[in-house]
Amino acid sequence: MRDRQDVVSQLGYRGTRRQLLKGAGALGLAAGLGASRSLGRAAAQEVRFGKLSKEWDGATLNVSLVAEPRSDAIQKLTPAFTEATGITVNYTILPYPNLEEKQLTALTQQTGEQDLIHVDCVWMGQYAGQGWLYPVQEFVDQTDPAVLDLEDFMPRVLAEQSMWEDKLYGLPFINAVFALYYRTDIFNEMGLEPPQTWDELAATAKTIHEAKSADGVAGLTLMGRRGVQLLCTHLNVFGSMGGYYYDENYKPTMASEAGINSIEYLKSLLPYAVEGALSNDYDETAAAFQQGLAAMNLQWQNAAPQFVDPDASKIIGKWNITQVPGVADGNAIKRTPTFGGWNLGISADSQNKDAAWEYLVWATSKPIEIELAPSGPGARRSTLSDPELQKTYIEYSMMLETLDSALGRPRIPVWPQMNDAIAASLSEVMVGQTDAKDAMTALDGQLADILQGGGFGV
Amino acid sequence: MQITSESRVDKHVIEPAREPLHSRQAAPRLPAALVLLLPTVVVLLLLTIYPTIYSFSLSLNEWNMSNRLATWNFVGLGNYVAILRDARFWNAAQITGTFILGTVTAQLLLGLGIALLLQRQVVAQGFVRTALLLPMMTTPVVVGLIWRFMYNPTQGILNYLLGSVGLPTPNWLGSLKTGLISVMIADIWEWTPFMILILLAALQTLPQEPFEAAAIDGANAWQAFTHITLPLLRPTIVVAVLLRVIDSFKTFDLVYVLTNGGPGTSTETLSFYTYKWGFKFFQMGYAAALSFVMLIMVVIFANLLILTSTRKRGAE
Repeated sequence: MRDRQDVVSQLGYRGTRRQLLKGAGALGLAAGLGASRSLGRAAAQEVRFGKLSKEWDGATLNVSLVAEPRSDAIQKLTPAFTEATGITVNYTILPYPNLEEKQLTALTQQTGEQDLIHVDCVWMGQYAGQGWLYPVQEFVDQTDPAVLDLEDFMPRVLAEQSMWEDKLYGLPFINAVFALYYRTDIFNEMGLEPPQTWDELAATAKTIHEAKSADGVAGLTLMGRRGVQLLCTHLNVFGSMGGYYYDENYKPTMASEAGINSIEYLKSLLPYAVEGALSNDYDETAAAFQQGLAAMNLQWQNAAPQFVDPDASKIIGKWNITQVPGVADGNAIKRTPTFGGWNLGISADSQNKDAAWEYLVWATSKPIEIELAPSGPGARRSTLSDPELQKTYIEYSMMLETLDSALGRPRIPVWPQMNDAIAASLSEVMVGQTDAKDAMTALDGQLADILQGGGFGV
Repeated sequence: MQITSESRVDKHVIEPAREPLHSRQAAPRLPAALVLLLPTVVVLLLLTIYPTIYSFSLSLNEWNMSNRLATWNFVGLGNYVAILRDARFWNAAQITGTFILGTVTAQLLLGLGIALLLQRQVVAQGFVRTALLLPMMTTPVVVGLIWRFMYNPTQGILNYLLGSVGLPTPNWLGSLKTGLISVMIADIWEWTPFMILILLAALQTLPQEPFEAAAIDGANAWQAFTHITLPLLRPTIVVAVLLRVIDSFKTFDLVYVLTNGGPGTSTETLSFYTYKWGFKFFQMGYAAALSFVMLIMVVIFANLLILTSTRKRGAE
């Protein structure tokens, strides 16, 4: 629990709430701006943004996005924005594994080649903490509050995706939390209930696997390939068992009871998982569930649109989504679904910061979020709780329940290195290369080196 | 390159013919020669020598490229010392060694065998050679993707075929036992044609006289192969093996696409590991030092190979 609180306060969550309240008022004091500048602006109280005006007619924006359905969808909506504002928008949409290296090599030149950059929430320490993103509070103060409506964003999403050390560095764009998908037809037929704890998940997977694997339906599917997806899958279990990657003094704690038990637990699910789970990443896992090869799927909620796709899905109307299981804690169940998602921020070297903010306000506005819904959910409470949308997107109510209790990964600048070491060690245990205790002990040594190298916990 | 020039039998014939021409014009034309050399020197300086010096000095520094405010911080040989203590580096070195040994040996044996068969081929030579070029001309990333689909344990064609004849269907890329082998198979598929084409070209230029003489002396086909074909091919084989070893040493794309270094760290090659430091962790100094360690290893290996092959030639 201490770890968890440490993480939460580190994210600036409480600070956020305060800051948002202040931001809603006229003064932008909390943003760390000079008081006089803020007061000067408060007196003028000029609303420049959110009006889709022609103020930046002729400007060109270069936007770097990750290759996900929502990125393609916003690109398709952009002509309307260009028509209204006269701002041209060029997109560079790259797959996740190549995105960061392309962005950072371009940013290092400090030429402002990219105006808006899509930042995975775990890169915020690198991007915002190391000066590549521009703090946007001054723009917030000049934006029509009815259009921007910062309060409408799920506070935790805003804090974790778009804030760093109590400052706002963009707005959330793509939003994800882990969930448990299950096949309603199989559960009804066998008289099963969706599992609430990890023990129940293992038992249910076993029961289904024994009954159905001869018909080509495995107990469950999960993302077992070495990489970030395995790490995120593991954190669901690890966190709910009370573990985290390091303690409040940045001392690694992977060899803790929770660390060892959680990876051993994931490994124990393999006999009931689809064949090949160990080499499956996001796409293969979603495809396996979509093709009806597994009765349960432990994955990000943003895979859901693939399961209602009439052209590809074999399970339309036969599945549901619920919260990830947890650990029984008295009468309650402690769940820590892994949290992810993307910030869209303005590059510190951008020559068109004003136009970039206008675009950002537009791209995250309520009407656009509703138009983008088929490609994945937004981060606004108003859209997630919209009854009409909830009928089509059955994952929304689950998201509302879990987003504020979800557990994020560390966002410190050395995280990418830690991420790689952790994923490799988890994979070693999953494939049986190393015993869990040995692997986690060795991993703690590696993590301590990385953390100390980054100036943490010396 | 020394090997090829040595092996060219006709070299000696050409050299004397050039000499008078050379001696007659060399002395007065010196400045012109310098001017003519200049573009090459400039290009080399810009494209090879400057980057090498730059990256070497980078390897003596610590520089986190992802930090906007970071500057080069001189650490001397610190990066190199750290590499020697880095368990994952040694793991990657061992995997790279296994990878090179396995792939290059298989490519050489298969390539030689197929080249010997093709040497006798009379029909459709052009077609076969073009077809052989295809795997080599395919981008490694595409090769990786194709193999990844084929290796897919449930939806791939490999396991479909194996399963339909009742053989076991392994999880090729997801299991420790088969992960590295699967990457090696894809590499062998892609680069065996290279061996075939080089060896076939060499086979077709071999002089016929030794074979005729051997036939008159009553040598059988196997004797002719081991005592004439192989010794005559040796320089070509050394060059081909050297090129493949250097290329194998740098294998990155296949690992990246097929396994991402996993399962565990069982397919993490040196170049993949270096890439991680450069473009995932953005520790450019350490990555540069890793690159230099790889360069040193390649140079040592290449010289050993050349040395042993020339010594053998001398002994004969």
